[in-house]
Amino acid sequence: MAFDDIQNGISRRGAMKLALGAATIIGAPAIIGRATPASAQAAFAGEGLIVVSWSGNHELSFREAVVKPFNDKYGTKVETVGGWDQMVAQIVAAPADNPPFDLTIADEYTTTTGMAQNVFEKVDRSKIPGNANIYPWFDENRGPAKDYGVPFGTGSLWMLTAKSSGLKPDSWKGFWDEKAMGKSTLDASAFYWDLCIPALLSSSKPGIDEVFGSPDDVEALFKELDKLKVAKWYKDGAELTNLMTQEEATVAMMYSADAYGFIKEYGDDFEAAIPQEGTASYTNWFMKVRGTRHSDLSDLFMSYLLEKETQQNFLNASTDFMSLQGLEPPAHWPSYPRDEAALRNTYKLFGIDGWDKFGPNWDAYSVRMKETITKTTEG
Amino acid sequence: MSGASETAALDSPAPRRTFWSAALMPWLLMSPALLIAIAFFGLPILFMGRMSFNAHIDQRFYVPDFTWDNYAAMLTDPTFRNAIWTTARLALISSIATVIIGYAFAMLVWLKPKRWRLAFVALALCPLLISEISIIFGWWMFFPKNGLLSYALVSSGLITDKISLMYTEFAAFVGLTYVTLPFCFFILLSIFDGIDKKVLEASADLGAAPLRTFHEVLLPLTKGGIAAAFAQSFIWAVGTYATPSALGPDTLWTIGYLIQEQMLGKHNWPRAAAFSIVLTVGVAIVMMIIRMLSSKRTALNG
Repeated sequence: MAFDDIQNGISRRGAMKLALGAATIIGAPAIIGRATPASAQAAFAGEGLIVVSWSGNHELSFREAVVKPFNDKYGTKVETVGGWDQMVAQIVAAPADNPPFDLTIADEYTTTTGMAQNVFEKVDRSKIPGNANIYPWFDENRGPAKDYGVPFGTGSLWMLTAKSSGLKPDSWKGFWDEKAMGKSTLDASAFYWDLCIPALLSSSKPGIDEVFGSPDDVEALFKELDKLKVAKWYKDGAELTNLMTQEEATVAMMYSADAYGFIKEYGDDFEAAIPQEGTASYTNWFMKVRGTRHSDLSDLFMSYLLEKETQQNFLNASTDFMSLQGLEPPAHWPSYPRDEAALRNTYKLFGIDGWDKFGPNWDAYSVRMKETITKTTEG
Repeated sequence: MSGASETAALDSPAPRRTFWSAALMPWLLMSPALLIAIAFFGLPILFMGRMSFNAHIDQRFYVPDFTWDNYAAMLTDPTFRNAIWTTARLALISSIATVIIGYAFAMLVWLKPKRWRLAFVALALCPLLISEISIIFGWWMFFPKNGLLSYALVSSGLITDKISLMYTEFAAFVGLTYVTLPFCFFILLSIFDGIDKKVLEASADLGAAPLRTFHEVLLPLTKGGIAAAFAQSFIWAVGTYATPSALGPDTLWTIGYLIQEQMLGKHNWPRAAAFSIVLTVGVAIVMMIIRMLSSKRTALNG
């Protein structure tokens, strides 16, 4: 009788709601990070999620060290796609309720644009257990944007030298060394990172603050870059790899997103490290995209990103500093900073407030950079 | 039929219908293509034109406005002025080279026996089957000091020291020519296929040397194809930014490069749109000039 009552009394839509409700109840603990994999599997098995990571070696490491183990654990169909400059534009171009991906990696520049375009969705980080154990440094310069995602790690500038060059990647001064004349390569596109190198070497302001200073401060940095003799200003990671492996250049500024993959492949002939002066950095946050149709699975994935095992796995296959405290230095990076003081000493953040100061002068600096490129490559 | 009935027939609605049908028929037949052209080309250009008048005042891509600032900025921006010259020069030289190579190749295929044709056409299709990025990677293996070209020249004893042609205007020119060549070739081959080979025999029978036959028979008959092939190559070469950017020197800033810099690097959509509109108008003007020049009729093509 009871069975009949249920059959007669519940419409198809009602049954759907009941099933959804049950799935939510089963999935709720998983979303807040306290579920057993079995209950989370029941809620999310087979569900897809698209996560953007930095295109190139970062994407490869992220797929192997994070996405695959997550899918194995929860039976989901999470996939990662590579992106670089275009993520916010893609979200803006798509319908508000059907974005092209659900989570996106975002440094300070992407975040600033994304916040201005209102493309992110709020995340309740208090429900994520790993959140309590992240380095406070990550939230300090984040402003309101910290409520829209989770910090996964830090990208930075690394110095790469060919062993045949006679130079070690231990000081940024190496770019101005006689041995590097006509054999160095730096980024032509994201030129603000090039400016950070003379800023790290300068003692007139702390860290990389000259970059956020007056136009005269920045002009002094350009003048230092003008003294270089560059083999080729690269426009992307593939070109950088080609320049180094074809011996067109022997000293390079390389992003940490690419450094691990490069050394793994060509470590016999090259060395990469963060020089003693420290490095300029950006943070890698995973931001929830507005209108995502997989909000709960996004929450579960973000919670997974802050698990110690996930962070350690990724660190073991990368040269990014991770957001969680208490990780073990990987074999390829014995000098990995182990505490907040070492983090602050090594990494100088190109923060959101830095962008607010640098951004208005971009066009003028871009023209000036072209002058530097012309000067350093002629002859 | 009497005169009265003829007048009646002329005044009847049937001929009027015929007139309207005749007037409307071409438009009706064209309408699917016209709709596609408007939807996929006209509207985006209109949208781009409107975007070029918006403002860029903060981190947002654009702020709705109506300002000429983006066009005014171009007049005072030496980088943009240099980029126009660089782009036009590179596109012009590579288009001329493409037409010459494509013409010779198409003529060879046309003159050769049919059994050779498939192999040649397949060869010409190759660049179209590979992405532009893969082609760039190929040149990266070819031009550097440790590349195939240097290796071949040293091995053959033509030079003693390794050379690198990478990151030179020559490399950019070769890359652009390679990318645009297939389009040029197929346009010219279709023109050659429309020519009766007997005109060559007739010219020879009348005592003309091969060079004179080429100059006075073949060239006038293929003039329209040459103009179309040049136009096609020029459009491609002007718009392509990845190839010159990846193969050319650091200072080879084309308009395409500046557009992507504004669009992706600076997130300044109005400025990128203004650059694009200027590029589109420039290409349209060049196309009109080519059309005007190629429509002049000769004794041979009527």
